[in-house]
Amino acid sequence: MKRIALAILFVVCLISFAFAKAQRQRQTQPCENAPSQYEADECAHKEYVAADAELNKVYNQLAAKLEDQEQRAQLKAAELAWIKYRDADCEFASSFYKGGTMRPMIESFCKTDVTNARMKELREQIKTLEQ
Amino acid sequence: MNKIAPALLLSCALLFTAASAQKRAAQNPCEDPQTQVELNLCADRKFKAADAELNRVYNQLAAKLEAGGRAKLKAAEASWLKYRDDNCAYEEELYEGGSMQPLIYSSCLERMTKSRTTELRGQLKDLNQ
Repeated sequence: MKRIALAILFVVCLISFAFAKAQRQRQTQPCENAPSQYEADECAHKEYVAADAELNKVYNQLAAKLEDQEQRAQLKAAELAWIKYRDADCEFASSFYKGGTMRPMIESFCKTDVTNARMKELREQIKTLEQ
Repeated sequence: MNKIAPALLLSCALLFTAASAQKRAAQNPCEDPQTQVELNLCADRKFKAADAELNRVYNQLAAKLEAGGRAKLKAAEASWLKYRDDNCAYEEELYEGGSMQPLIYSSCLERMTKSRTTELRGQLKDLNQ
């Protein structure tokens, strides 16, 4: 009986470990294992679109907390400048792959990373307002 | 006479405080900033140090690129500068009229500069691979 319990425990541990590892992989490079480059591009693009939608949500949360018209205008100016920076930075980052099949995927990866970083910043700004 | 003694004592105390503050400032006020002015000054210094480091990494990266890539990097950096300024202007706006405003602005510049440096270091690493 004790052995069976131990065996079950072992299997449960193994499964949860494998699951955690798979999840971790998904979080880092979820699209690179796609069967074709086309599918990898699509996957990376989808991921970016999802991050962008989430960023819009966070941005609107922050804007809704601002009462001052000028503050809202300044936030908007910052966001427009950020969009230009995102595009220019990812244009640079993907230029190393110019002409290569990986380029669209690299560009989407870059945009997702930059978007996530901006999201973190906006979340911090929300926290500051709530203090 | 009774009123003069405390006044004298008070001015002595004030003089002493001012003198010790000055001494501290002459040493290195940024080790332990006490007043808002010192805090502002030190935040600005920290930003300038971060900015110098960013420039160093930027030049390292630029040196590894050909003309086309360098132009793209330059465009990205110019747009980042505008974003940095606008974002920190927003953060500063929240403290408009307060004595902390310069501190908030410099801290924002420093924070963003450091994260941009990390980003450029990542790109440098990608190039070296």
